[in-house]
Amino acid sequence: MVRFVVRRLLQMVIVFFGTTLVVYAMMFGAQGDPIQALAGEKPVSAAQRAYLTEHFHLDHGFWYRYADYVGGLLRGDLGDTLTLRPISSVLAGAWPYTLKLAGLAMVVVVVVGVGAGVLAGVRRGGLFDAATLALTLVVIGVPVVVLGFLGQYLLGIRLRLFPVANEGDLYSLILPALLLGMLSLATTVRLTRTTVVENLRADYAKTARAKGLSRTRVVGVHVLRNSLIPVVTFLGVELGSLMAGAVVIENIFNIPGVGFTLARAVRTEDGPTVVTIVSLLVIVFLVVNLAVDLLYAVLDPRIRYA
Amino acid sequence: MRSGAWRALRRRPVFWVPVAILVVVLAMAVAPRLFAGADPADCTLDRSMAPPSGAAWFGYDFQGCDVFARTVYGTRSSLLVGVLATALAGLIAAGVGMASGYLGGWLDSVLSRLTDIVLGIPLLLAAIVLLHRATANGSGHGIWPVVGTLGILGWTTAARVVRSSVLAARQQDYVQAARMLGAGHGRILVRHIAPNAVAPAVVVLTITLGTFIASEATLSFLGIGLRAPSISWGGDIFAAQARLRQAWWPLIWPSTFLAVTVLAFIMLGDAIRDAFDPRSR
Amino acid sequence: MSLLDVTDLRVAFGPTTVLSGVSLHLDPGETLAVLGESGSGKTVTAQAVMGILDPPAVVVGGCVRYRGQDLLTLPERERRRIRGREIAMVFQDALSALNPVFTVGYQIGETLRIRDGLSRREALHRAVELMDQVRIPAARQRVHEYPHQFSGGMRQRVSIAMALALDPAVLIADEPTTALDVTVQAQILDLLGELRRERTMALMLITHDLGVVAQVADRIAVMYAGRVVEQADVHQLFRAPAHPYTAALLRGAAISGTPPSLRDLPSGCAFHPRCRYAAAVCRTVAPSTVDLGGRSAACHFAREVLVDPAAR
Repeated sequence: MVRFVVRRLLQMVIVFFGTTLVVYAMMFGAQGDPIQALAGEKPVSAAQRAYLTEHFHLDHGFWYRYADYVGGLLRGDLGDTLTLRPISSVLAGAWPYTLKLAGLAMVVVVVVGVGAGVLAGVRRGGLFDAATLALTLVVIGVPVVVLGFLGQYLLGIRLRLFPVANEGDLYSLILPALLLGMLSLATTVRLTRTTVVENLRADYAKTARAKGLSRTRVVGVHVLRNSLIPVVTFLGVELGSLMAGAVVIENIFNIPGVGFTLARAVRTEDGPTVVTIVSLLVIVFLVVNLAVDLLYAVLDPRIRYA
Repeated sequence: MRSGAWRALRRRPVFWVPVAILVVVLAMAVAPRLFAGADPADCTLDRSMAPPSGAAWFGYDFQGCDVFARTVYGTRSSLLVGVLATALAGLIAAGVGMASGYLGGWLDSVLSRLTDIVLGIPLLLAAIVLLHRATANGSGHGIWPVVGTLGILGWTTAARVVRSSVLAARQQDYVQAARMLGAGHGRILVRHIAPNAVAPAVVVLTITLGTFIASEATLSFLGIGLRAPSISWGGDIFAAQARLRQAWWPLIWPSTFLAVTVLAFIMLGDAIRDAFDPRSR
Repeated sequence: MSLLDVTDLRVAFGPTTVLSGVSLHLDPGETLAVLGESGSGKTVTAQAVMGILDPPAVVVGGCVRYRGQDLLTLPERERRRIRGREIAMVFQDALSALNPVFTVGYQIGETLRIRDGLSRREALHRAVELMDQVRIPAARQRVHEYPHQFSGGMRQRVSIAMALALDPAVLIADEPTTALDVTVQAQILDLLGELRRERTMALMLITHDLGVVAQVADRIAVMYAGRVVEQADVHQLFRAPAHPYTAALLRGAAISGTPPSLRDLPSGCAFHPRCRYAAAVCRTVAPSTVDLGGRSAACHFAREVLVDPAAR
């Protein structure tokens, strides 16, 4: 187990530098005027130019700047926005919204997705199975943008079941979280169903039945524990699209979270903020996937003792 | 085996339904005039937000443009972005995958790590950074920055698939035999190895095409994809959103077209995969 | 009366009949070997007796009596009570038969906790005892390990310990040694024999290996194409087989032709295309089981084969 953790941590370090480098290079690498890259199409005065050059070390080479930037990230110094506010203070107000939104969405995905997937798998070929299969196929194909507006219009404006915009409380986050979770939900249902069907056919499920255990216990303990292994892995990867989806959903519902801040930075062409937020999200994604890998080892002893 | 897969496909509605949809979508992109009588640029403010009527079945948007005409004309840019970006991604994937799988060694390690890293960055987030850069450098708002961005970021899954197919094919006896007979690398790659990678790569790229179209809409919605005067579904969805309380029709049609097109590509990819790999059913 | 009495058991796999009337019985404390090549229906018989067939396989006829009670007509809840406690089963491949994500101690003790209401501690303690009984060294330490950490033979011992947890009267072992090395095979067979004697438990040993049969069985049921074609005392059977298929098996010579496909069984006697004794009647009429006094065989010429010196 220790060796496994150490190996994963080392991999994580490599991937951390790799990804931050890629993101940073996308913004500042290759040719082009770095100041324009930072400030976008807005005209830049000479004073601003001088300040930006000094502040972002633009008179140094690319590698120097990258090292400076990563050093800052590691120290927890996120740098400043183009309007020279500390990015950390901009994000401080935004994180809680996004965390709540993503958390709620994850709960929806896990509870509903795994539940429906297990049910569909156990009643394979039945009506419930066919219905979920058809439904998930449709949902998988619908982009978040469409899903978000459709949900907002139907459930919020038409049926008035939920508030259509953020009111600061948890209740107004339910509809956005539902819609955000919808995409991952569909894939989760399908994946869970497939693995449950596979595991139900496994020999150990037969053994469990031969021991005289009830069907509930065979499915709920033996089959489920094994089926969760691939589902958990998938959910870790899926966090990436969940974060991208949050950018869209937060804008549709006016939730002042990280995604909203990112979109605003994009609109105001605030380069440093865009790079920093994206880097942060990518790091969160990496850390969560590390956690998922460790959880994977907890769920599957064959890996733990490999 | 390949003809077996084709025979399995021919009999399944999950194959024909998306194909039929995509034929219609393609026709719309090529000749929008055939589908929409009205001119999408013929907009007057005095019929702003006019609801659906006999004259315009889908109503008018805020600018007073015919919603249906705009949606039909928007097909072209959405599809074009999807197809071109997929072509670019396919080229990169083929190059990286084949080099990685066929040449192996340190090149394989480097390329595989690179693939892992790019795959590890959520597509949309990376696209935001790249497109921000592209627009900032004054590359304009045409389709090319979007095509380039999606292509450069979206090749990873296909590259992995190509690599593993190439690895599998390289071990085959007939490839070893061809090498013994003194066939050159180029010839072996093109004649013997590449054909094996085509089917799985097509499956992945079909689904990728669907996600690219959805990504373009999302990027346009965020204001860094296609912009006026380009007509695109994502842009129209964004414009309609602001006035969703007053009128639903400007939102519904581009949304529906977008969803149906993306769905068709994903269904098609699924159907082809099922035909080639019956176990996944 | 027998402990377990299977009469005319029929199982279908969709449109395909996989068991076309299997009859056999098991007496208390004895070892019955069910012998047959793969596809003859041995495993299906065992799983039908246990009631753990997976769809689309379904029992379409016959009865399985345990102590006089027909298991097939029992409601699932009652049936479950029999499983594990009265009739237990050991599977062929212990690696896939054990759940990879639970410790062996958990899996052995699970039935005791769920069905006998033992506490976690008591169940674990009992699991160690059971592992001792199946001669797993250092049971106290190994009880916390996972199946993949055991060797093949040890894993099969774990399966056996698990099956013995509720002290069943019948143990069905489905090819328990097929996946193991030859030396380990002998150890497992010895262990099964000892456990049967210690516990006066009846053992139904499913195998395709004549050597295994000779070593441990009291009686033998030979299966071919979804039927029991011969049932006899092990000495009788080895001395003088009454079915041409058994005779061919004992001679050790390759049997001409291929095993029949269950989807397309030959008419009449399923063995007739490969049989030296085949006559016109064999092609049209399926033989009924002939009682030969303490033994039986499903062959039109059973009496002739029995006395044919060439069959021995």
